[in-house]
Amino acid sequence: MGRRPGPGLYIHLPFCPSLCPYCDFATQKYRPGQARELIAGLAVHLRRLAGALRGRRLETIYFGGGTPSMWPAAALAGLLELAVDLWGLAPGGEVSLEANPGTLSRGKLKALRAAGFNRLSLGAQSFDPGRLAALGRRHSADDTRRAVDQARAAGFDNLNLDIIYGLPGQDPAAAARDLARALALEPEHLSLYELTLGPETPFGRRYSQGREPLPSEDQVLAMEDAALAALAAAGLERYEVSNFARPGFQCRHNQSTWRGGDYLAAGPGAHGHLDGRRWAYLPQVGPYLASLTQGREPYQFVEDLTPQQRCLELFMLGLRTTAGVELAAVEEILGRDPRQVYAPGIRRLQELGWARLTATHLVPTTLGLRMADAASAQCLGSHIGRT
Amino acid sequence: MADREHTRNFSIIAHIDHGKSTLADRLIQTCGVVGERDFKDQYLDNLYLERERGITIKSQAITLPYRAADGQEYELNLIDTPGHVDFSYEVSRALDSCEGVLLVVDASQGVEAQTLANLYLALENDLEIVPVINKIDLVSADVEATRAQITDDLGLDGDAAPAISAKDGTNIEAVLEAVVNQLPPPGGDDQAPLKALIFDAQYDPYRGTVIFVRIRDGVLRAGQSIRFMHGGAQYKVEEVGVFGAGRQPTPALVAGQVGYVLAGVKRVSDTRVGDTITHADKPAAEPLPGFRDVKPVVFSSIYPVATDDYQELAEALDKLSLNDASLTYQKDTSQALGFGFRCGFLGLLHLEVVQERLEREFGLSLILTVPSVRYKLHLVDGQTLEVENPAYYPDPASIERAEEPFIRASIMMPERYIGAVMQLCLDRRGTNSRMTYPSPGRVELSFELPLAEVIYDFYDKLKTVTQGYGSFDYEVIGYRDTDLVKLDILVNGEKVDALSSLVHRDSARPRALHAVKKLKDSIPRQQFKIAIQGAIGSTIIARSNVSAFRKDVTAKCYGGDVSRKRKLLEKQKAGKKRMKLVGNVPIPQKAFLSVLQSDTDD
Ligand SMILES: Nc1nc2c(ncn2[C@@H]2O[C@H](COP(=O)(O)OP(=O)(O)O)[C@@H](O)[C@H]2O)c(=O)[nH]1
Ligand code: SF4
Ligand SMILES: [Mg+2]
Repeated sequence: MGRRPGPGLYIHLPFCPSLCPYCDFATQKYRPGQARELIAGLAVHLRRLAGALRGRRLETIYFGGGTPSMWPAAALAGLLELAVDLWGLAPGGEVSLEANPGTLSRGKLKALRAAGFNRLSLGAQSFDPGRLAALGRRHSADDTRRAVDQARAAGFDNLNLDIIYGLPGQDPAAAARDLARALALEPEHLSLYELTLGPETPFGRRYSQGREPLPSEDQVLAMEDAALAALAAAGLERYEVSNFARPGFQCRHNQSTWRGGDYLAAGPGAHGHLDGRRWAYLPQVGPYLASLTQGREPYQFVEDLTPQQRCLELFMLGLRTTAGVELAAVEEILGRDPRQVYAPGIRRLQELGWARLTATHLVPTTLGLRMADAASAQCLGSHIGRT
Repeated sequence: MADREHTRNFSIIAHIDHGKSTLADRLIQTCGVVGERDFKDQYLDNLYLERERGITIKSQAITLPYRAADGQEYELNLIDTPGHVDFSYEVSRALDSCEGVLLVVDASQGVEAQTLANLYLALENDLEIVPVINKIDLVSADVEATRAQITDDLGLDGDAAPAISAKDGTNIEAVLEAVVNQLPPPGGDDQAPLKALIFDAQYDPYRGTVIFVRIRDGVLRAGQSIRFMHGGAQYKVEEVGVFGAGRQPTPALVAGQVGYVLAGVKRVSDTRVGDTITHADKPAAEPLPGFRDVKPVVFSSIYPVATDDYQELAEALDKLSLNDASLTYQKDTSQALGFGFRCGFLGLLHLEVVQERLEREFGLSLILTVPSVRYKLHLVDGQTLEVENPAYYPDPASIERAEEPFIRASIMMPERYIGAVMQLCLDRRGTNSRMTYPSPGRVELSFELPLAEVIYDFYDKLKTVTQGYGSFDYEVIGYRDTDLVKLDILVNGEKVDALSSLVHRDSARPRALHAVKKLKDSIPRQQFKIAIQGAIGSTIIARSNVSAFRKDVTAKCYGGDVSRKRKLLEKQKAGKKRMKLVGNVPIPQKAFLSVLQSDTDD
């Protein structure tokens, strides 16, 4: 399986200073005592996973959450150091940290950079004080700007900003202003998300898609069109539905995920993937730690995918990326030419103008990216065998 | 074999969960019918081959041998009955086989809706009623208040009611003594020509139909030739017997006894509940009263969601009908749904029970069309046509007039609900109301109603407006003129034949609006706009749209989202199998079902 990218390591740190009303992640409010236990537990867990990669070196490490940046720099540095000790890190390996403005300082950023973190992903979300408040964010637009300046000063030359659009009360002009302010900070990378209403979140209970005060579908589409133009003009190329980067600055960790790559995982609620086996750990800190203490892997579930399921994932994920679905990767799993096996689905995607076939890839069009969920459903329809 | 003086035939009735099954268990155990080792809780319920949603649609019987305090041996026949208005005829025949009933009341709940409904049923059948107060072991039990309620609300003797705990087995003897002492022994004459009432029949794969009978007069033995007085068919008796722990053959069944007959009857539908069995050579002069030829009154077409399941559906219906004489079916086809069956039912519950069994026991996934009654159409050319399937509705220009079946509904309820129930009946085109007061505070409201209005969610609405305290019974009284139209539903201009229905002109628009709205809510958006219309002929009377979706993508899909998203897709695929294509619009099964649902829930 030499062609598959990776491997990576994902560490989930499930605490936040407070919970945002739109958040659908495995996260909880910070409790110092539990946080200390978790750091110790994570170290135990990482050590126990040491043999899992059979000597392969890590290509990427990703600290996600939650709000990992709220942890003491020393704790984060310690975990990173341990991981590098255990597996090694390929030269030029990517080490990302998710961060929220307002949890960072000049000194902390320096320490993190010195420890080896080389990519910082900042949850800016918006630059409009009203929207930030509505999103339940504790930081201000100026906090974000300051964090960017400090990160630059600390030597971070690979910065991402997360921005959300389609917010309550937002019109296309406001969305465009928000994005322009983000671009003014000249990030190497930008993740632009349409607001997702998680059914179990306060937002999900309060709002419904396309209805006041949320923008209509027409408005959302207008926002998206304008954003695509603005991002391209700023030199940020789209490489996934919601992700844009200057050439060479795509997030390698996520790209590997989308190509079916391997990644180890640690932390409550973290998901891992190794060679067709997917698993997740218990999402609650308590049970996760208890299970570790008892010497068990704290699994929430483990599933071994059939070749068909693995291919379905490659289509599902690949149709979200501008690179598209790598046909050779599918063929390697399936042992047959995907152009034949998936012929009806591929033909349908072509008819709809959602994808085109190159010599090596099935590549989604801009329209196809906008319809990616429906597009992967089309491929499912022409799945071989019965699942 | 016990003589008549030492026989009692009785049934237990109760509001759900008041302890009917548990009491039956204790009676069976106390009388030692089943060895302790073979005994299982809910014994009678487990005898039923088919018990749906806690509703038994078949009767069951068991003979309890009992030595009473007077030192004498008795044979107590416990007859368990189904409990829903769709089967009220079957229940009435089963109760007709008894002389009395035990009316169980939960001491912590008191008298409830079905307690009353059951009481009325027993009264109608002239049965002796023994109230029993159950669950006295509960801390929340209030025996004295329950006694008072029985006296005041039911008009029975609450003070004499045995107070028991069926669960702990407390005071069960008192119940048995009450059966012996308060219920009359059966009447009848062994010397008279044979008259045996058929109160149910069940299918046994090895022996054919097991006919449940109550002997009114005469004696029935193996080897005799018998005739069904209404059905006309003649059979030779292979075996008669009583119900102990299983069927126990006996040499004969005599007047007053309850038992079974095996006579090589192939299908349950060859017998009719309420028919009278007599001797072929020495027949009775006339059959027992109360026979009704039960005909299906509600019709609906059943289609498999996957067209290749048609053969399985055919086999499943064939199997079900072995034991369900009231289910009728014949082949039907639909453009939208392919091959299926037009089925006839006793009522909506019967329909639901059949649907559930087909889906659960036979693993079929089904689509049912809007239930319909059978209309009579008088054509211009003088012909008369009976139509219960919208597919066979002729050109309206050829119809001179239409008639629809009417029922007389009898609704019993506490007085305070009278206004709401009256309104409900009037909304459903009810006429000729009558009111009587069978006991203080209770009202019996009688209404003539079109059957079509009743099969459409009437029973649910009645339960709602009476908070469960309304009991409902009806009989079909004949046909009356009606203003009938055929309502069609169109999706992107294509008629969905399976959604067509025959309705009264006044109901057409509300029904059309309802259907259009339900479809709009349940047809998934596509990449194109979908127009949904309701029409009478070429006149559109309701319309709505499912707008095209122009964006369908999850914003985030990272390492932790992959499994969930893939499973969602796989589920979607499973869901697709349950879709029907009309034109190029996939319509999910739930869309068809939602059109059938009433508006009560929104
Ligand atoms: N505490 C108590 N519970 C009882 C008694 N009789 C029945 N139950 C419980 O009440 C519930 C319903 O009883 P069941 O016999 O199934 O009621 P049915 O619906 O009338 O047949 C069951 O959980 C029984 O265990 C009793 O005398 N005491
Ligand atoms: S900071 Fe991020 S992870 Fe934490 S609650 Fe807010 S959105 Fe969720
Ligand atoms: Mg029961």
